[in-house]
Amino acid sequence: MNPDKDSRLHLRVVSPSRLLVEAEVLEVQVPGLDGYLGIWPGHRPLNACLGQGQLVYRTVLGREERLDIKGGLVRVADDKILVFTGMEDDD
Amino acid sequence: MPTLIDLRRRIQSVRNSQQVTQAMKTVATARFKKAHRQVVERRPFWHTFPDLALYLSRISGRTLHPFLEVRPEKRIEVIVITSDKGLCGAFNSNLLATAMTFLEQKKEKATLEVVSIGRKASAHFKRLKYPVIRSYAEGVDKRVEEISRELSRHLGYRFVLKQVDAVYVIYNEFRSIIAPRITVTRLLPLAAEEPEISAGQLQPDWEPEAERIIDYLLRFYLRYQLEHYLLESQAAEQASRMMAMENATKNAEELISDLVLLLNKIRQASITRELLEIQTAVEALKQQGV
Repeated sequence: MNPDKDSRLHLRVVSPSRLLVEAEVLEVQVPGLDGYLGIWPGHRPLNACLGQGQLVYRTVLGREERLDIKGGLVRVADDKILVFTGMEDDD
Repeated sequence: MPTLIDLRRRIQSVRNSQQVTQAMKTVATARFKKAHRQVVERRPFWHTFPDLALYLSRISGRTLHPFLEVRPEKRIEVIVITSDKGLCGAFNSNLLATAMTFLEQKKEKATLEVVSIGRKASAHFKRLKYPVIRSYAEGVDKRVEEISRELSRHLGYRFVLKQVDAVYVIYNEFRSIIAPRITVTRLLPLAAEEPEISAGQLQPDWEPEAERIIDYLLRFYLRYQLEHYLLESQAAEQASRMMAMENATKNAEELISDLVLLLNKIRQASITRELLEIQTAVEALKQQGV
């Protein structure tokens, strides 16, 4: 599934109050609106809304980290993943 | 030549002022640290959010959201952010000067309306001919969230209903402790100056469709950007006050040392004079042969 062992993803998770995660990772799973999306290096460009759930990522050391998120947005482009979460809705 | 007692009183009064400025500096430092931390922690969001919104609107290629629509600027709303309190150097006056230049430039081509935030801005625009449609003048630093929510709703409606064609914000951005940077920025419409991304690149997937993602994203745009400007301005204000009070304390110190020098000179002069008088008296008595 991942032919190039050296390929990495750059993950950045940002919330209005602070930068939650900035790391080089091997894979990321985000809770999409209709279930989890797995993102590996070489993923197609994607813009997607997020649902409620856990964002899971595996660091370069192989450790799995989890983060609870509730809604937001993910953008994948050139092996860079940008996640916005924690915005409070007005209405 | 002032008398000794006058000088002593003067020194004491300068010393009292110095204590006040010193205390104000301490308070400003504590507030600045808090505001600075907040700004630094939130900047990643503030700086990437508009970029992302712009990027998404560009790749989708069409005007998908009312906030992205560029119209000729006939009616402009200008938000001017100052502080509530003074004693922070040229923080407010420089900003208001920039705001006035900006308004003068724009007034020939457009109808202008002002939203003033902070007591200083409100007091300033009260005396001028520009219509102030909203004014927040008390406890702005404690109501950041409330103000940004309310104002974002107000601006959003007015822009979408085409009651205004552009919204500008003039505020002090915190750059360094030495001096804030006065920034004039356009809040609405949100539009890119760069050309659109060429079609040759891999088109991204949208999940759900682009309209809905952009709609979702831009719902937060105004509110968090306004919060950004308000908090930046606060951090800059506290930094300016810190600097102003530090300078005041230093100046008081210099003044005190000058006054003490003068005091000592006068005291010495009077001692010398008295000694001379005594000496003269002694000499006179000697001559009389007493």
